[in-house]
Amino acid sequence: MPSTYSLIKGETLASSAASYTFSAIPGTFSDLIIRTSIRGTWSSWDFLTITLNADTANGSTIYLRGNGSVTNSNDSGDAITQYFMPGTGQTSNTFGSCDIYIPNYASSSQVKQMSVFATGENAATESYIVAAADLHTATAAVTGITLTPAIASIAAGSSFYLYGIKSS
Amino acid sequence: MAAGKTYEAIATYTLGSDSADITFSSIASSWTDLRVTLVGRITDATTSALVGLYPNNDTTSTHSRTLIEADGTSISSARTTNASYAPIGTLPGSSVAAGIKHYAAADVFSYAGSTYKTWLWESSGDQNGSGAVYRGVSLWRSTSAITSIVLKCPGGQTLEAGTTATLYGIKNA
Repeated sequence: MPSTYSLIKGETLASSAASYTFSAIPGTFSDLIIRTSIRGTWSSWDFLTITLNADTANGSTIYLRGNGSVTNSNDSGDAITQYFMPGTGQTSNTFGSCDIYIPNYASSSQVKQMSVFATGENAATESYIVAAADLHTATAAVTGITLTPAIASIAAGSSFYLYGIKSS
Repeated sequence: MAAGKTYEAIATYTLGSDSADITFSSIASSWTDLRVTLVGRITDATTSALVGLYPNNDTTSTHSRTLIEADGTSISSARTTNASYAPIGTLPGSSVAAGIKHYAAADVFSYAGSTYKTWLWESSGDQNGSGAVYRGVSLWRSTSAITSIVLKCPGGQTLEAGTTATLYGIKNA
């Protein structure tokens, strides 16, 4: 009997990288989930962008964000941009976490509604927690997912895991 | 020791026609926790409506919830007690561009036990310029084991054909 929850790919970066891509994603699952432990090379918090199929034109996001003292919400019509990941100015040896759930990713007729939950607690006065809904308005099946910092690079030691989930 | 499945798909339903509800029945007690996912739309002419998660189809005033909501402009929090249902999330209606579906999920803990039942839920509903994100916790004040789950709109809205719900069982050992 096939497994419900299967690891498709996992990797921990040995050196910094400008971005991270899951490519050639098979269409044999129902949903996908990405789990990351991530830190950036920028001197402060950086923004992690999620791009499906290298398509930066068909994304929008609504997020709820808190930093320990202030909450805000934004609705962006640009490429999906999330999640403050800690940089070199934050507490050392501290990585943030980001979960991205993509239901029905292999559909070629549906737009993709994603759920994101990200945290960047670093035992300091400024940390972040983000809950977001991301909409990718193109209908093509998802075969590639790229995570890209908006300002600098992803630090060595960051890890990325892509799981496939079967509904039956 | 034989290895059992930690995370197992129990049942999935995709509506072939519009329906008032989706029901998972005869849920065995053999897992520790349950996870329910829901992706879909409603047929009603509205931007969105709440979908309730009804354990054992119980509609008595034994449900409560606390939630936080953000719509891209404002953030709010709300608490409801002694209600006839607790939500899993929202689904978009026909006022929203065709093809856009919301995603909702709930993690129901110790569903087969003899204590009150708690679930954490999330709802993602970006509508490309509108919509909302929810995160919440719900409580069902019943000591009965959950043997069925009904997903339906407390406002009487209709689930659209193509809406999919899946139930997973999770074992802790």
